[in-house]
Amino acid sequence: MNERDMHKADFITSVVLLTFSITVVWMSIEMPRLENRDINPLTVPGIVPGFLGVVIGIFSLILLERSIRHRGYKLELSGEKIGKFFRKDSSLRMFGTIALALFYAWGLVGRIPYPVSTFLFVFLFVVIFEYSREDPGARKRRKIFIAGLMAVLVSGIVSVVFRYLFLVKLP
Amino acid sequence: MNGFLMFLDGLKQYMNFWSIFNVLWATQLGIIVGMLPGLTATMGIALLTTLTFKMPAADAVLILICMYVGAIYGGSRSAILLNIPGTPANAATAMDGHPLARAGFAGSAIGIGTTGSFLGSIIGLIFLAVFTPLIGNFALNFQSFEFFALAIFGVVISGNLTAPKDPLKGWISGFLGLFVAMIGMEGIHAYVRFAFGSVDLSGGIDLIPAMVGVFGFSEIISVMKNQKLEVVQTEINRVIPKVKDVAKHWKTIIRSGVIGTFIGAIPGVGEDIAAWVSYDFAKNASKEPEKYGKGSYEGLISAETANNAACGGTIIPVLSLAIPGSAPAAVLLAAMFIHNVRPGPLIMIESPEFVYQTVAMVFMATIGMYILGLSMVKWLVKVLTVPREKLMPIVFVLCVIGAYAIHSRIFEIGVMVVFGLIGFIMKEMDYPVAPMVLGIILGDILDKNLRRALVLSEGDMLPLITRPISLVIVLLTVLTLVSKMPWFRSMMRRIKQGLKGIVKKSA
Repeated sequence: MNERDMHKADFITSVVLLTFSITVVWMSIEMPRLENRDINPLTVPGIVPGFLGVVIGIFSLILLERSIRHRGYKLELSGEKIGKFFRKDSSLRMFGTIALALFYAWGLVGRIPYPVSTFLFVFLFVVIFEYSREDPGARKRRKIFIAGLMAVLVSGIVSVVFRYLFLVKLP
Repeated sequence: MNGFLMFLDGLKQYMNFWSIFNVLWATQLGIIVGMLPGLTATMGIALLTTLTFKMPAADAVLILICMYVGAIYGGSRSAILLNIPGTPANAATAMDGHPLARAGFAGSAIGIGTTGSFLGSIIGLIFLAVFTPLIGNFALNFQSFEFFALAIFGVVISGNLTAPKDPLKGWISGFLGLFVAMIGMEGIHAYVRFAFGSVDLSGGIDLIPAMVGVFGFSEIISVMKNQKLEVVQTEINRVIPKVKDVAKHWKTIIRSGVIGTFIGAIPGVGEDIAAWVSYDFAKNASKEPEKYGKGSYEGLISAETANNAACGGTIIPVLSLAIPGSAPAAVLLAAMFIHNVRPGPLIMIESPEFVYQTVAMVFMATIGMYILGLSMVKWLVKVLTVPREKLMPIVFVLCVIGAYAIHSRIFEIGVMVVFGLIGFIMKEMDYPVAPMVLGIILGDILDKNLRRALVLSEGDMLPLITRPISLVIVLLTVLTLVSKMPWFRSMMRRIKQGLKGIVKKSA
């Protein structure tokens, strides 16, 4: 990220952090004082989170002031810029990785048997990221075969090791 | 003398087939993890913690220390051959290691780097053996105000040193970590904070899944996002260095070892900063500073000695204060708690033998690292050619099952994923993640000790500056905070110029 974009990112972050810190302080004040338990008022549960909220708030104000000084509030977002970002190779790989990881961790694990979910994830990951249109048919078939073999080995070994060696009840 | 006998006792305990077998495989695995860009020492230890949590404590901690020492060393291999540090600790190594590899001296660069790591690790373990009992005994004077001040100092100095260009982001990261530790049931009145009715959240955020996310999943995204890496095509010549080639750098080795250990022992700072500081010192003291960055063996040895010396250094506060010196040491600390070992000020009273047993573990790991580091070099280079598209899904599978395995809860997988995404966004925006992790560990210490302190002093915060140890920590914290402020720097510049003027006049 270049310096100009960093100031824009800092502006957005500081606003988010400021909102967060105000929420934390407010929630800390709202926390019960547990008077019914006759506790020492200096040990109320909200005192430390409140203190942290104030400190984060101060830091985010400094960040906000600095980003405003560098005109970070001029976000200059346009459809063209956003489109260009999403079309970049690195962005595609990044979003592809996140999507596959979320699909596996939240969509598959715990819903279908663990070895099957792991097989699917590894197979899809390797095939999607190694796929190339320019590859001749035989090479494509070889890549798919290797991905399948790898997926079987990884899901099999990890499942057996964790289930029978570490005695973990698989998700 | 008593300590040395306890060290020998600890060493004797590991002189059996299974312990040596564990040292060899864990150190070799550590070297491979360290070599592969995207797999860090922290991730390796976190994943291995999940694999060893059913073992006896002595074996499990030995394996984790071997992974730690191996990984910090292993990163030098990719730094030299790829110009990409395998772990952040080897960034300074790449400065001179890679130019040497390009010039056809990959073998000797690996040999000198390995020897530097070995000697650094030995210096680190000597300091570990000497200073842990001293600091541990001194820390017995610590009470609530001191621990509160120490927790704040930890995140502030960690933020300062891990984000030297913009310490504000380091401090934000640290305080966010402290906040994360507030989630769940608090330890004094058992009140559940920030759980929003979730039973899972009321148990708090466990350190291991959070760290696997921050150092594992986030790295996977970064590695996949970036360009593919190319291995330098070079013939690997003689690896084992000549004694005179090492001996001529003896001053640099001792200086770097001491600097590495000292920086490693500062909470939350870590091996990477240790290597950079040592590299700078070596360059300033060098007779050939112009060679630095172009292929200087001295530069290479200064970085590699310091980062491995830092391993011993980071364990000093782990054992004596229960505060980690770096991110990998933070996982080591968490693993010790999982195995019912209780590091902290009382360790020299409750189980002093464990301190020396740990020294013996570092010693075993160091020997293992040196032997393995100088052997199978050509074969291991092939590991670097494994494509990321095949490696990263395996790592993510291990991240998922590793996060799940300790408590067998699906919720922990969610924690890992969320922290992975947070860690990735933070790194993209130049926020260091190490202070956040330190904050998660120190949060509980801060919470309990601030409230205890307020009760003991009946709401009076003055003891924070009237108690001598606490005052020193507060002053150090304030100095750390203001040292990065522009007005403070210009004031210091003016004072320096003024002093120079006075000296000139008097001369």
